[in-house]
Amino acid sequence: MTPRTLQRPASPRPDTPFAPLRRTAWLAALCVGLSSTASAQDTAAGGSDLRLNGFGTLGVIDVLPNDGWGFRREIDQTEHHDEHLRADVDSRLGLQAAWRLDPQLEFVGQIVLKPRAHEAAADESLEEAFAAWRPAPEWEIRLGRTSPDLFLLADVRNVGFAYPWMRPSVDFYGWMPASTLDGLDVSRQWQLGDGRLRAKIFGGKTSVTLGANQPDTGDDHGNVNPLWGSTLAWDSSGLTVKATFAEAHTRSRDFEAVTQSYDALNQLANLPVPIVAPQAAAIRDSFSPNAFVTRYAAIGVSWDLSPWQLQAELSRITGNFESSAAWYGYASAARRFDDVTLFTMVGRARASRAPLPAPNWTAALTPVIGPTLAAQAQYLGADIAAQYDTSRIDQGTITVGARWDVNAQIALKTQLDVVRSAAYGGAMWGFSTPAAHRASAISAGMDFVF
Amino acid sequence: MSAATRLLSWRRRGFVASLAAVCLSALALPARADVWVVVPTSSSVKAMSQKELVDLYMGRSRAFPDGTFALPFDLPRDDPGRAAFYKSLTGMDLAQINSYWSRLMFSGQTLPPQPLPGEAAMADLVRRNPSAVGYLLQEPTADKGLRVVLVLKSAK
Repeated sequence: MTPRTLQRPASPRPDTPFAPLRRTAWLAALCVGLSSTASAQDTAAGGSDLRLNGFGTLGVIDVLPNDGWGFRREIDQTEHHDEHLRADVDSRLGLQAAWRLDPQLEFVGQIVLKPRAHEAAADESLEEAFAAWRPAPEWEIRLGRTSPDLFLLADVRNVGFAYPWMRPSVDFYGWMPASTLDGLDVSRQWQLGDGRLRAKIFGGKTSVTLGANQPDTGDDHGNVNPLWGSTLAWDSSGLTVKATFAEAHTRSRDFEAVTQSYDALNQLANLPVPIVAPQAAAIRDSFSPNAFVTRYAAIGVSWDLSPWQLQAELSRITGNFESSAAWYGYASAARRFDDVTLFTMVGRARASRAPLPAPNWTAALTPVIGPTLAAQAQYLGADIAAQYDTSRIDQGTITVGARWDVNAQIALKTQLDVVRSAAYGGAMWGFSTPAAHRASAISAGMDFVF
Repeated sequence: MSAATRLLSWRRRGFVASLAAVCLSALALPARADVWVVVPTSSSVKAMSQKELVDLYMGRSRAFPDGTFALPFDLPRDDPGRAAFYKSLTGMDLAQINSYWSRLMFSGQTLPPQPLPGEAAMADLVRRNPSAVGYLLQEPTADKGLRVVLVLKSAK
């Protein structure tokens, strides 16, 4: 996440949040073209294997009360639309083409069409485009665009058919901006008794566009370079334990504005004005004049103990961009009754840092630097403090719901989320206010794979 | 004994006799094996455990027990034979299997076993590919180039 000190780019906004979908239509056409080629492939030898598959969700959500706060499941979604029965939160379509030449070499491409931030680049819909090489059965090297392997569900967040809920925990997964990684990963696995140990290292870069969550701000753009990390996972008898550490260095595309803001606050922090100096220092220290460094440490456990499915994850985010420093966690239990699965989940996101107080510097600064500069300083301090506060996440969610597997490829779901946000903790919402908030979200949808 | 009681008694006898007949016939027949897991006779694999097969068909391993690459094949997604195979192998139904594989496939981890049009194609392809492993719902004849490495009993 980058601080909202950025100017809106000069490029005009698309008319609708679906505009990026039009811009990536050629990617879909490419996949379809690849599919037609696939049908012509002769797989009789069993070596070459070209496939087109897909997944999707048609979902609607209604949030009560309808008080202007807009529900978002991911912070790369656009700001809210203040109406009932929105279909732009969960609905999405994914297409994947995969070509396995032999057991050692594979190519995969995947696009995901979904409403994103207004100013999201077209290529953000390209979720995967990589070559995988396996020099030996236990080794794999992937080069190209993959997913940063941060959490248990990080790379299948869009595939509703793969999990029981309407969406993964918003408290845990919603803030995560990076969904792709342009780079390299290397993994190795060992069979140890009845279990399997997997280790992976990954590194590369990505870019992100975060949807505006306030009416007077534009989307945020960030270049993440490098993004690197490692995972260690253990599977045995339905039990999976996964530990992750990763680090991301994010630089805003409007980095000059960030640096200028930092320098101005630094000057204010050094003024001999007792009221202003400590507050300016606190606001200055809430971000960095250099790259924003974010460190992720997480552990996740899932246990498929048929008919029960239990899952929990906990992560700690630290770094020099304080509004993203937080604890995130959730726990879920699901039980299957033939074709119906009932589930419940609790989630929590808690910012590590307290809100920044709104500065009131004008009267104190005017005698020192004059009324014009004092007004500018007041505007700068208030703006950055407000952006810091609206970037804090401090909320909890209780979820109950049901999934019905209509057949082997279609599932119907419904769920109820009760979300409580603390004061200065509503960053996951569009158009949130500093006040504490409580809302209920009712969702229904259909997931499918083909 | 009234007529009604006598009639009930004879019905009971008939039921017991029928039950006994079923049990005797079951004892007389060998245990029914539902799925035959096969590799080509050119393969170095002589036998497999159910866990080794689960690892291959659930994407947890890419190799046979001897460390060589394995190429598992499957029946079409909605084929009843595929449902019987996975039920016997893992205890899961097709919706659960598809949900599991959608997690692996769409995250780019690995592709599910390659589907073939039917058992005839499966037998033909496995016979010709030394790395292949497949399954049949009818016991293969001994001299067709296929070796049975595991027999899965029908799931209850």
